[in-house]
Amino acid sequence: MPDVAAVETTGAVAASERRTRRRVPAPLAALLAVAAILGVAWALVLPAWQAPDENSHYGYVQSLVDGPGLPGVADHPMFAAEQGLASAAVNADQTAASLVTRPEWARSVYDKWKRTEGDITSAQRSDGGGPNAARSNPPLAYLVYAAPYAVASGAGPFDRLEWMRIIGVLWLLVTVAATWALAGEVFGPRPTYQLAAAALPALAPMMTFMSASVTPDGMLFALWTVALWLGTRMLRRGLTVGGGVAFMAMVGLACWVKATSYALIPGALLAFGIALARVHGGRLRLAVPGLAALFVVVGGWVVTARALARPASEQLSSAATANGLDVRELASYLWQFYLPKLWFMQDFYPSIPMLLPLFDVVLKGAWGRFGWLEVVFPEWVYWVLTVVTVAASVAALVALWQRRGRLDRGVLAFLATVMVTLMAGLHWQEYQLKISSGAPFMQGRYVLPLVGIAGLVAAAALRLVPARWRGAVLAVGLGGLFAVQIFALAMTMERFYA
Amino acid sequence: MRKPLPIAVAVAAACAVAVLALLVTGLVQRSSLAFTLGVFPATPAAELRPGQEVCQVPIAVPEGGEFDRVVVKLGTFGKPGPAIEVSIRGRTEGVISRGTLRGGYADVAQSGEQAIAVDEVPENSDVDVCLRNRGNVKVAVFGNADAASRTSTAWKDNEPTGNDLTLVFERSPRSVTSLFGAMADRASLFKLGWTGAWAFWLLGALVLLAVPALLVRAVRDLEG
Repeated sequence: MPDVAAVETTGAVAASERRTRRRVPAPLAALLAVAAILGVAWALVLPAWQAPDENSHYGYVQSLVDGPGLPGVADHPMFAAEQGLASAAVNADQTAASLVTRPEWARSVYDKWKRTEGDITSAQRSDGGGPNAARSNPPLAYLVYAAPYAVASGAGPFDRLEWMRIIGVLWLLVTVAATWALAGEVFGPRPTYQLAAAALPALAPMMTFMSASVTPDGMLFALWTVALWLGTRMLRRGLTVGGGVAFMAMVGLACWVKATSYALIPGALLAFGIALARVHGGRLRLAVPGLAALFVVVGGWVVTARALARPASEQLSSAATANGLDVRELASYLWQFYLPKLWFMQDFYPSIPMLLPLFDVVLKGAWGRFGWLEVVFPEWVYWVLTVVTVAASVAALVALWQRRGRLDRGVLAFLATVMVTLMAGLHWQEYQLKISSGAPFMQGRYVLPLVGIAGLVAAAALRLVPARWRGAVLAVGLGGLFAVQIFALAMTMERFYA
Repeated sequence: MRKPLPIAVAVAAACAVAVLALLVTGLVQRSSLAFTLGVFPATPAAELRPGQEVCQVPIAVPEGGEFDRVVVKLGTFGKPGPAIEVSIRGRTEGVISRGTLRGGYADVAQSGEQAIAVDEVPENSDVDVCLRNRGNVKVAVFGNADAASRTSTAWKDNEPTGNDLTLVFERSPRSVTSLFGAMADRASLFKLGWTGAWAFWLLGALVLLAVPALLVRAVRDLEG
């Protein structure tokens, strides 16, 4: 007969451990509170429709909730009359990307708007839904935004926009928590490294700015980071039916947010294959549910899109069927993106004066370009941030090399494949646009779905620092990110309201 | 284990330096902008022969938007520019402010913009801003198409020109930090109906004080 006292004690310890495990670690809780404050600050500071394509994303949601349904109706205007009136009242279109222009800030004009707002009819809220810039996006992120929009439906358009932004900040919290969990899988439960990793999405201003504006990107960053965590967890802890299904369903779900997420699929299949290969026996029982989850969720969107006569992946298919491939030209484009152009190369960036697209487009854009990308830091700030980025990347590579014998190569292959596939997709898209029209495509914010991996790089770099200096380096890192964040907010306040 | 204190101190110090740097930058950086119509100087918007006048009508001087300089961009057709008289008329009181730009200035391509001192115009007033060519040669006032400034338009010879003038209104420079109250007022419009300037003061306090405190809290429980 078992010793009752021992069983009770064991049970109590187990319950206590479960409670401890369930409790959010204090550093993560603090970081989530930081992200929430900063997210709400951005949501309120930013004037209406002063983030990339925010007018189109808002119009998409308005069309979903107030009618006529999914946007793209050929004979409808891009936006509802109400949005047009509100946009004109706050001077949104004139202000977009124009540093000499300010949003409306006269109280008399605001009071006049409040009178106009009262006269807006329901018909003026449902006459949009035309072919706006966001029409080809899948609907999941917009369906989520539809909830705050509908709840605030009795209020004016500015209230609805603000509530959508504030609810969108929740995705930033998911991204921060998922980066914390991802670092926990890679480095073990070591709060120092988890904090170093998760501080990046919590404090980097471009993440906060984008997540606090109405855009599917906030949800995209969150789902990608959760998928990276689930994939890494699956590789580290072994494939289970539940783990495999959760991972593959998350990858599929991301495809309901933006076509960019198709770039997750090769890495996901590779990770799933590696995890499956590590299992001894019963592979079919584990493989079928996971693959079925991916197939059903991604296929669900493809079938839905077909049924609604919409493209399931317009960007992807237009890039794939565009102007074909000239290997020499593609190599020349890639060279010029990462390295200085050589004298014999055709110039792929003739009309845009820039040093290197990698620096001018990716690094600057990923660290911080606000509003409609017209609010920028002084040039020297980008140089400092670039030096820090390069130093952290080199340090992370050295840390990887030092631990090469103990690395989980499956995890490394998974994360590297995701990174390379996203970059390859973006380059292919830009290359096709360059040779067809010369237009640029790449933007720094397009690499932000990889923020979880960037967090791992920061943590790996910190691991290289001798233990006695680690705290100081972490403190400088957190302080530096905080400085960049508050200056970004202040610059944005000054640009729009000073 | 509640450790290590030095990291918490270092984080607090790093955040304090960041906040201090922000405050110093805000004090050093000065802005003379009172407000602007936000019209990009894309094209000559009104050509004035000697004696002709163009008026941008109406202009709402916003709260905190009092000004004593009007900045314009003028094209002089390759000759020294003529004198320009600026008169600012209240909607009911007639001329409330005047100023004159002396002739002889260079074209916009060489001299950029011209700042014309006027008597101070108070905030919360509705005015028309008129520019009259007081010289002997023609001059072009730069601006953009009519949609550039939604609420007003440029008139010449009692006819709308279909354009807006690029007008910027300035006053003596003030530190950006001292403008925070005005910025909070302006930022609170066209947002949530129940927020006011207080929300931005609160957010400022949360961002500059609570966020560093939370970061310190985050590192307090870390292992060494």
